[in-house]
Amino acid sequence: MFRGLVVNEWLKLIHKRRFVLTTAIFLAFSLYSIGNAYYWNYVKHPPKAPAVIEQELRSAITNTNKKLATVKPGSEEWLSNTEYLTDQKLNLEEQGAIKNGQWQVVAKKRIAVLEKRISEKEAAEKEVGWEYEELAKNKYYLAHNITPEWMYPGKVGGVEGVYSVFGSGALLLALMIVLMVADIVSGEMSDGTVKLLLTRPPGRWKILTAKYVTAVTSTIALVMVGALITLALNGLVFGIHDYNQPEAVGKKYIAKAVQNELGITEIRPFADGSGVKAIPRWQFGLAILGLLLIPLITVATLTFAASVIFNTPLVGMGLMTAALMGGVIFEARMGSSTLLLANFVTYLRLYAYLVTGSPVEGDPISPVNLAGAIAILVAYCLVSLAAAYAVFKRRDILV
Amino acid sequence: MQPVLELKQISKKIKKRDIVIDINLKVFPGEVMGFLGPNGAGKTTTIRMITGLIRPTSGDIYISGHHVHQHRAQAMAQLGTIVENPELYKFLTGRQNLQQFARMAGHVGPGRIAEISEMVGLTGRIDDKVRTYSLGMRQRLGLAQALLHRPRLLVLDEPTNGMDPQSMRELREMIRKLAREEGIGVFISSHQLAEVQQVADRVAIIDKGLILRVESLEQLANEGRQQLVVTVNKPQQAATLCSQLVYCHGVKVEEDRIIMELEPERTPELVRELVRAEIDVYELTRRKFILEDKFIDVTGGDIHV
Repeated sequence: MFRGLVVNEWLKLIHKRRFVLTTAIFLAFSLYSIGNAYYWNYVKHPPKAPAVIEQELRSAITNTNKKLATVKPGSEEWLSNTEYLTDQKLNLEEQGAIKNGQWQVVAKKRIAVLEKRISEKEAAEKEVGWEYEELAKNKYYLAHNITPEWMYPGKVGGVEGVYSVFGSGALLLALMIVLMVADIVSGEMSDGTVKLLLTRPPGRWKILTAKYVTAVTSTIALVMVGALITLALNGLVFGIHDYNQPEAVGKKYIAKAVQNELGITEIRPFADGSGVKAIPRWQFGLAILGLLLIPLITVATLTFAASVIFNTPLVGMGLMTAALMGGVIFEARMGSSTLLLANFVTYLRLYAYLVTGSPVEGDPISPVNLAGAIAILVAYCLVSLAAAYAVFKRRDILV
Repeated sequence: MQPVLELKQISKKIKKRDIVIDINLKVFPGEVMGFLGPNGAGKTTTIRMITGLIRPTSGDIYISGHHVHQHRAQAMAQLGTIVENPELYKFLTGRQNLQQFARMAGHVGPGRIAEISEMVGLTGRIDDKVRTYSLGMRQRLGLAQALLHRPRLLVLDEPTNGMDPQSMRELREMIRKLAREEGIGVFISSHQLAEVQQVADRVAIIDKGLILRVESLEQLANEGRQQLVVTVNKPQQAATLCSQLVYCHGVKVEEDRIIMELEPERTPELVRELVRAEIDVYELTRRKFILEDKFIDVTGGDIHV
């Protein structure tokens, strides 16, 4: 019986063409992203000939050497230029490895350089960030015998394209979900069909639960269908050869008091690389999808509750759209604020916990960790569901 | 015999206003009960309480002995209803609509949808989207969804609103057939007695939330008083004239008509008087009021035969 109710709701969703419409909109966005990636990588920045790259690297090395001769050894500028010189030399070696296939040698050298640099910088209480991630990736190449991506210059990865679409498309997906779910109850109120639903044997809470199950499952289905379509398109255009390339996760930032150039103590975010590890790109993509689903299901739940509480679909849709857009504008304006951490819209970027430890773009130090963030979203869901059920159970249907 | 519908001291207050006050009613299997009252009398509120759409402030409702709120599933399994307009899912076909309701009823056999579409005369259009249906067809589909799961009680709220005379006749025939042949109890609301009297066995009259009386149609017809309605060119003058005649009672003016009570055999006499006074008579009709004057005043003469 309950399964029948869910089937009913899904059929309504499909025949109202909601699912197709939202998928199509997301598909359009995904196509745009692919086009953009193609334009960026092949038109605006076409692959350079190896000889050109080598020439560029050599002249960079020469220029840096000249510069180093003019600055005081041991000074801040000298240090950064030395670092730059080392990196350019390694890059030149990469070019050699592309020809002779000996990438392991370069990876090992890189690991040695990075480890030294990290220990030096940490001893000097300087910030270390991407070095940890590079270190983890290079160790991963060697440990799993994965040929690094840089061995194939000019080849863009299709798997990377999928999760970058989903990362930047979180707000769009949220809006699609609002579009899909907003009239799930209020639509029946405004069309009067609720009278057909509620004069049947299944009780109100069962009908409402079937509708909620549909709201959640259609959210998951939208993300899954969207991911598969995006993967297929990206795969067709760029290939999925990069599925086992490493991505570094687990970097966090901690607040540290440091003296700045003027001798004033200030709090700065310092990267904490102790938890950094590399995972293959397909795993990273799945983790992003999973972390995206949590805030999106929250959006579906809030939209569902609005659909129960307000009798016209337009009110629920308007409120949810305003909340989402308002939340994004608020975040852009505030940059960093503990207030942001109470707003569910902030956690649309829940996946950012994977790489920065904070959902707020402008503030890498978050007093709320991933578990706390999920707890906040669950609280949003529970409160709004409680309100929805309480309202619907006793409401007199006067339409 | 167990009533198929029983209302026990049902009251409903909305925002401290009494909408329905202390209603008691019984409908028996095979019986068609008309539920008659002017607009705003509490008919729709009562029907929504019977169908579980709103909760009574006090009192209990039973469908085939099952309490509508305490044993909702059993009660609703015995109920088929159209509340106000038959609002269906316009983006689904007729068949898909019926399939929705079959899934909710749980015990509808595979052949039942074809059978019921045949019965309401929708077979040819059952796979078209409801969006393309005429009002009459929507009403038939509404009836199909109400009867799909073979209910013991059929509750219809103003079912003939916007229906053409042909569909109205078909609906009446179907209701009578369902009551006589399948023993379904039917509760049918209307604001026009003319409509209800052709199909109902008994009539409950409601006004301002109170059930004024529950009578069989014969009883109502027998106690009615005859009235004569005369359409004339000078109604005021005619009224003055009539009130002077000893055999005319309760003379009233209504627009270009005068209304009075008089013995049928005195009618030619009255006409002669009017002609003599050079008043032009356009039309003469008899009507029978079945309700007390007080009620007619309240309802603006809406309820008449």
